[in-house]
Amino acid sequence: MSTLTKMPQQGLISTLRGDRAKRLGPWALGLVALLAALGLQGQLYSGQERTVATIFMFVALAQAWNLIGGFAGYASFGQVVFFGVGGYFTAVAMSHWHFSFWMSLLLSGFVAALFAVIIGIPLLRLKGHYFAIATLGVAEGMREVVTNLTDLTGGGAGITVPTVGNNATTAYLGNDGFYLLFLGLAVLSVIVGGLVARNKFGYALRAINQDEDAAAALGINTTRMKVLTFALSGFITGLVGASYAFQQVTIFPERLFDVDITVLMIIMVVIGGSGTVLGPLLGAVALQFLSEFLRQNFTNLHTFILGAIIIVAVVLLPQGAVNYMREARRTKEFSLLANVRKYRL
Amino acid sequence: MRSRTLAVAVVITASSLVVAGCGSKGEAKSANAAGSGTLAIGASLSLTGSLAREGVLTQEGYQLCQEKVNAKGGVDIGGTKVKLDIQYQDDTSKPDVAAQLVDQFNDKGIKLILSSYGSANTEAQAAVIERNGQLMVDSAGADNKIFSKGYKRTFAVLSPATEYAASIVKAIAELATPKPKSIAFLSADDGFSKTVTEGGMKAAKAAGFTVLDPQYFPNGTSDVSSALTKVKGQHPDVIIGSVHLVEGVAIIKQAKELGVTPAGFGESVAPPTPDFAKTLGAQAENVLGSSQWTDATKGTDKYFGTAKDYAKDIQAKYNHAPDYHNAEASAACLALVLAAEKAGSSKADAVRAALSGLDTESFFGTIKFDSTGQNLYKPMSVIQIQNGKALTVWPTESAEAKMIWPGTK
Repeated sequence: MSTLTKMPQQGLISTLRGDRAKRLGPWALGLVALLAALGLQGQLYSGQERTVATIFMFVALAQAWNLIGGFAGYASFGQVVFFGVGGYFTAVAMSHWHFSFWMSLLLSGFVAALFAVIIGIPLLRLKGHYFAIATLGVAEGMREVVTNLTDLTGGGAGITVPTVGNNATTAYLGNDGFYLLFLGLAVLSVIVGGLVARNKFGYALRAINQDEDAAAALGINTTRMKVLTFALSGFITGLVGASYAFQQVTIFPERLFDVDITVLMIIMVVIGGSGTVLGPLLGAVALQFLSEFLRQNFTNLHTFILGAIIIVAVVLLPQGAVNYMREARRTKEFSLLANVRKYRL
Repeated sequence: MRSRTLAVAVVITASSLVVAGCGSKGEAKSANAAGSGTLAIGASLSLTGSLAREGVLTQEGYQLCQEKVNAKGGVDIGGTKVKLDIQYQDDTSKPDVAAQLVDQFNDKGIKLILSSYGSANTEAQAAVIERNGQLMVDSAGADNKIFSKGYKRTFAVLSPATEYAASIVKAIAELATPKPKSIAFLSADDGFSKTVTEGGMKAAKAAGFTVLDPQYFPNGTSDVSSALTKVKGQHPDVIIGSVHLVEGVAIIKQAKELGVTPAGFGESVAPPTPDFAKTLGAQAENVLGSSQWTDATKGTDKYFGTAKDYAKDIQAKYNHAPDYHNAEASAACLALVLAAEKAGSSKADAVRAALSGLDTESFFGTIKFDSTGQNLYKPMSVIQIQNGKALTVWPTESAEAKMIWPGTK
């Protein structure tokens, strides 16, 4: 975290031109990456498009978690609840109320954000482990609620979004369409992350992360900041959940509120580098790509190998790949062992 | 400077991708091209995650089928024998991954698919199968809901969910003396179990039983006491559970503790699994259960022989007693092989046409499909735990023992 707070000082001593390059460089790189992703689509088989769309989905989820977990330092272990709320809202709106997908998608984001505000106001008063456990409880509880609202949600039997026939309000997007949709969500999440990182709002969150009482003493309305961040994070996660529900056609509470999804978001952010914009992006791409590669090539051992790789990564780079690279470039100290010593001993 | 070099590199790479992207889109390959000598079939399986145990049993079933077919020279397609080549992928017990794997098989040109384990996974797969013009034989997704959506490319060899409790009801109606009057259904709340309950209640009403209000509890719970307490006061003659192993064990144990004593218990899914009798010991005695298959099932086919032969093969190869999950997987694979032989083709459309007209006897019983793709022509077996063993008591023509009634003393 310490490097992050030094960034503005470095910016001050740079020349004006260097400063502009520094500000616009990442956006330019992002634009190139987006064009590359669009170009890549033409090269993929239909099934590969779906696989890559899943990577984009996790980029958006990891970026969303990073807002509350990385910048603000509130590790939400129940983040999947927004995914589930968004997904179920869309499924219910499309099948019971005959909303179009696009209308449902937008509303799902707002419903998830509203839900984040409602649970955030009491829960964001908790810190550390207590906050983590409380959010986990909310997600588990919400799954039970959805399971038991049988008339609305179909309960454990799942709910099917109408995609064919007269009840279909929006034509199914197909693998081509979902590739673009999830790419769009990934781009949105990176832009939001980028704006937060470089803006007063983001500095306030980092201040809360480092010392909440000191931040409050500086005049930051910590409660409002935290709730707003949680809502923003919930909004993006809700949009992703809604898109996922439409892509899957039939959804079940076990999967929509699956704690595995939260765990993946957290691992991606931690491995990539929490509190950075590039970190969750790299973490999500790398981990999802790796897990897909391992699954296709080591049918019986893939989870074991993936688990081992994650452990090694976290031991060697406890601060995440991006933060490690930044520190290493600044201090010219690239030794991983030195890094382990610095963070562990 | 370093970052500028990096930026230039990225720009060049990206632009080349964009340019390349303007070319034609990758077309899916064809896996079963003539002369390749193999018939490639894709199978997404739950090898890790919550369904891993059933996933492994399913894989054993598919694998035994491949060995048996290849031992006879392979699949006879239009006079040429080709080796069966089942390719496995792990879906980690998640429906979205199972669906994604079907898409990936399609990329490789693999159009013939054997299903994953469980109704949720199968339902997710069926939607993709339909869109891609592939063909799937379902070995373990029993929920009737999958077959109510007008899908034309998914065929299930197993009896549908509505038969699980209904077959127990029919067995009791036929064999129990004195004939009980009332039945209470206790059910887990997942889609499959609820469909089981609906089917059972319908059969019970048709057979003239008084049917009490069904009681639901969460899927996977080990505490069913509140459901039992509710039915206790109504004194049902029979309690039938639409459950999995955990809830099934809980019903028997907690009924004893709470003093709920109907004349007999019946449960779907749980009693045929060896763990049921092992966990409950003497309490498991005389509990009725329904099974897709037992080694007393009538019928024979050219690859597996009879059900007894099949049981021996599983025992010899995997060193455990055969489980019905093994059998339904082997039967799904068998149906696909027989249909490809009948069609004389490995093309999905031709095999689909052959499957829809298939009517054959096998170690698994009759394999034949109705217009929705379900196999309604094979009765389920009802077993009863007697002296720690699951013995077939119904249908009577394949019974190994007489039903003991009343089951509780």
